Amino acid sequence: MGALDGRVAIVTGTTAASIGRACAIAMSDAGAKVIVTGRTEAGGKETERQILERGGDALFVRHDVTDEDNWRTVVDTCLERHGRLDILLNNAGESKGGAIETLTLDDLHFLLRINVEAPFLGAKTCWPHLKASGHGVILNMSSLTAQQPGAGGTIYGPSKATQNALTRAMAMEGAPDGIRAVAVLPGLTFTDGVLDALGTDTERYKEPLAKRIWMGEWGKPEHIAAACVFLASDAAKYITGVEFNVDGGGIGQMPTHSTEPNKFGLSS
Amino acid sequence: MARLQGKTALVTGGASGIGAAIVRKFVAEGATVWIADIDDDTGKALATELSPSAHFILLDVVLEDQWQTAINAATAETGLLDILVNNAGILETGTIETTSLETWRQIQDVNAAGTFLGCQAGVQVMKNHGGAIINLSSQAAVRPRSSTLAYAASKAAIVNLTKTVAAHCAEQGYAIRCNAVLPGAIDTEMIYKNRTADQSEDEFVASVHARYPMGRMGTAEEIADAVIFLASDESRFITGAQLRVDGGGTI
Repeated sequence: MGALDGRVAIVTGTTAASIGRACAIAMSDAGAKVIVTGRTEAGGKETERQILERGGDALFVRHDVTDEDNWRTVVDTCLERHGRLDILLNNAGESKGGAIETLTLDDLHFLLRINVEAPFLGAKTCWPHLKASGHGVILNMSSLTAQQPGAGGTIYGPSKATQNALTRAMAMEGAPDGIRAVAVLPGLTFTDGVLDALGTDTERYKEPLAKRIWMGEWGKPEHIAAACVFLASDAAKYITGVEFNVDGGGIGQMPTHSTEPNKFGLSS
Repeated sequence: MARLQGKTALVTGGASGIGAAIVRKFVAEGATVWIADIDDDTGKALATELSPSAHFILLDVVLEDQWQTAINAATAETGLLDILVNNAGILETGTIETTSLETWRQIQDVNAAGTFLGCQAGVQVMKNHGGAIINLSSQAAVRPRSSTLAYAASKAAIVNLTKTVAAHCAEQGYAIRCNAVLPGAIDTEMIYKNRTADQSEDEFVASVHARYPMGRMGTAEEIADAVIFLASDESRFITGAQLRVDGGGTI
């Protein structure tokens, strides 16, 4: 018996070996049927394939999360296939680093479109169906950067902080409709996206950055996914409107780190 | 697969209310649980009901030597304690104008110092093999009301203590995660202490419901579900966190 038996989820941003894919897989393993979406067909199909291989029910739908018509197609496809929708995971997001002097207004607009407008469009399109579910949950993938600017750029953090405010508003409005809304805040998590951002210096930064995380290791997509399964399930049915940190304690608030080998065993 | 299979846990204030719900759910998830409480009649009855997976040990959380006895009892068989839930707490109402120093001290003693002693005992016994400490704070820690001055302050202390203990364990390389759960209004005996003299029980309940976006109180089981998550490997990358389980009460 899984925590999400009988539930149907839409997960956006599932086309890379990252948090979205891990969440879709974990939700499927917990019993949910999942619609996995994203812009890149090959990556999305790979996520679908991995879930089918594990005996789950998944369908990839091509999806630009900033396009309202695309959202209608995704939701219509979900309803035709499953007749219901219980969980929306707004995972798709973008990051743009850089100093304030070099960032442009276009950069900010780009982030706000994907990190704020898209979850808004998703919630708006899915709302009546989440309300009908009786177990409706919206999970918005935010970032520790919303609470700790500086860890990830001048405008990325504020875009995620705006998304958190949107999440609280969704929770307030959703409560009478039986819809919960929660922001999930990963800290440094070892994903394709972060590796891309680090570029050729990946190996150079991996260890020093790990030392700045309280628990001394990077998060993994699976850690975030386990939290998302809990938050989407009835075990969290009195939890709404919160910012849920999955960040190994946070970044850089600790001046020294033990030279002892790490004992948390997160790598296993 | 049970989520706490083979784990040994100690739950303070485990005889009743939220603590008892945590004990029951822990046992259902495969843990062996020590119910540590000052109320030995109720605690022993619960231990008997859940036998052989639950045991009772007398523990007044403000007494350091009783902590040692309790930890020794819980670790006697396996040598290990995997999970410690610092749940014991008391509530007295009172504003800044009506709270006596005696009441303030009594509440700080049980809620804050009791949790401090628990963390101290927990870290000591867990530091070699790791474990999870979960401290019960309150919505009042981050969204206080005028009428529970000392309680709210003691619960805020617990949030801070939790983060500090988590930092220390991380710094030292101890595999101990320490997290706080912040319940909103939970339908147990304690909440009814907030009822004012001019309120009927129905009026009181309606006034509580009106303060929550979800329009209801939470249940002890809903808090226990959050504690299980934080006690299990599902939360293995979460430490120093405050998990609000409050029906939207802090939005």
